[in-house]
Amino acid sequence: VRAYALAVAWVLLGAALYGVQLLKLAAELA
Amino acid sequence: LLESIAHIVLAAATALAWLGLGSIVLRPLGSTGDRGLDGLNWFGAGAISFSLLTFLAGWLELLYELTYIPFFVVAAVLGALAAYRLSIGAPRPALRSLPRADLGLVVVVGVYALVAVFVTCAPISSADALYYHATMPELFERAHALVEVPAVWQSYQPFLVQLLIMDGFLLWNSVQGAFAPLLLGLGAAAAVGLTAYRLAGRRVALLATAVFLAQPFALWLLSSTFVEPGGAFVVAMAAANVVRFSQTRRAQELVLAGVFTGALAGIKYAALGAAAVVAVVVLATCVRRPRHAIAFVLPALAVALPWYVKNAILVGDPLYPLLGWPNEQTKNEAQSTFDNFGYGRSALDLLLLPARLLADAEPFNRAEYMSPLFMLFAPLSLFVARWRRAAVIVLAAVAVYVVGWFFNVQDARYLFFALPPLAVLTAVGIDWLAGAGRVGRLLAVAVPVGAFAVGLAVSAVYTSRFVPVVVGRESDEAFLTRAVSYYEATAWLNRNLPANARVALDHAFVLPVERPAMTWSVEALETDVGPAETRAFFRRYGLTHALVFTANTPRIRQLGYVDAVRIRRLVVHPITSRTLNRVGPPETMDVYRIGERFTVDDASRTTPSAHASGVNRRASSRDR
Repeated sequence: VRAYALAVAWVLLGAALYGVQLLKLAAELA
Repeated sequence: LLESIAHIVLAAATALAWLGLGSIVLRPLGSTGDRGLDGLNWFGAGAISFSLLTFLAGWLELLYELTYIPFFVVAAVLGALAAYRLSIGAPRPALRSLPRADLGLVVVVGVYALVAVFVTCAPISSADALYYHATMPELFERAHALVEVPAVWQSYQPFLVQLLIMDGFLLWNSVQGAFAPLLLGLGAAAAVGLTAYRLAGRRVALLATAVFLAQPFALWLLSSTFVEPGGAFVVAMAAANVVRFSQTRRAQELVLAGVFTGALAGIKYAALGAAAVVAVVVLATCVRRPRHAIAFVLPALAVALPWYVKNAILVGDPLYPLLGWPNEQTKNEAQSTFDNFGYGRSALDLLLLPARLLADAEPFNRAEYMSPLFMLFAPLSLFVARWRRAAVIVLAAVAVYVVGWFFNVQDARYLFFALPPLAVLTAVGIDWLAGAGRVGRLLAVAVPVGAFAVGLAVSAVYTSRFVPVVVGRESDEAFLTRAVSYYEATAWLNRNLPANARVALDHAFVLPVERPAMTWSVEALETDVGPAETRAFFRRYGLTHALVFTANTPRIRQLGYVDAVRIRRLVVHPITSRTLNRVGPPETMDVYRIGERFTVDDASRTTPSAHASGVNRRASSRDR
């Protein structure tokens, strides 16, 4: 369970960080 | 369009020729017992053999179509036979019976492969390719020999991939050459898929292949005549053979791993570090007997050494110019180009690196186009009991490599070497999370699907820039004007200079200039030297004209030493992004004619060639 929680938290954190990149990419492409 | 089809047919013949030559070269080793791996080994060993034979022919000044094409045809016929042998009794892919998710992955991988082929049909337009990856091969082809190019320090790097590009020149032209790195990149994707398939079955294999190939970063690298796809391919092949060795314990797989690790050291200096990491991993984790160590090390050295021995013979320094630069200006220019990438090299920068690679990666040179899936899911493979040992080894090796990368040149392109093994671990991580609970399943589906969707959108924008020229609705010149910096000046030179002109350029984009041309680099002539050296430089290369930025006072002063007369002022633009069609502010360049008494044809004249890094700092190798 601990590994699972850690994995979910890691992916969520990473996805959120990548979201920042996405916003910049979207602004550039627009 | 017909021309594009011909390029693709010849690229297929090239793949067969590599396969054919490889099947002969590897015959003494026998089969690995894995048909797919045999095929990829033949393809890879054939490519390496072609490159080394081209090296030998270049050294012997025998780079002629007449010697190359018959050899190529024979190898391609042998390759067709080898492909036929491989295909007998091979399982047919049953696409119809695939689950929807797997079919989706097949489609995504197929689309990326086709698009990469399509974009490669366009004229070469990436900065580094116009600067040396394609320009040096063109120079070698014209000289029929592997000539030394002191004016371009990059030309002393190992050139395994560039010599395969050179084979494309012998076969036809620069665009044909551009297919060599593309084939290697597609080979890397195949090697990733095969290795993952053998270890974890179809779903993980398809995921791993998609994670590796289905990202705009890979599309950009595969279609831009860069050497990195070759590096990723040999990493993937070394890993594939190490995995096979762990199952069979036969020395022949270590020989093959050695060949591919040696080839990695033959890609470029930045890959030498990656080769060292691979070698340490293999020796530390696989090899228990001296016989096995020799089986791995000897072929690696044999494949890697020619480049370094060449430099030792030519300039007395195997790693020239990294250990002793030709002059202070070249060293400073190169250093400033290297420092141009990333945020910095402090401890805080290192700590922030993973977050920056995900959230703010543009300064690492197009790293914002790299898939986030590697970082998000590869570490999860540590939670899979069966994979823990492999994951620890691979992640530790990648971490060591990335730290080395961090303290050298933080160009994301060099991270591509690490992506094949990471792609397999990423797929394992996604697959594990999908089976580990409801939230996990949601994330394991939504995040990759989202990443593929974003990647496809960016790739579509990138590809759309190449459509008009590839389908023939746009001329090469119109395409190059919007894709290559300062091309307005190149077009003027091509139209107006006399046929026997030889040109010194104040920028890096040499390949499209239709006269013998070279970048007026600081390796060739420092900006602060006086009349005697300046005149010797113009005489040595037989230069008749120069194209310089109006603001480049030191070069204009030097032009005064050779009685140069300004004949034209041109307005030019830098291209800051091909993908985004972004053009920089206008600048002016001047065309000068060199005084006749300084252009006298000298018997010892050296062939002008391409560029070197950062003349006037306008030639940053940051490729947009």
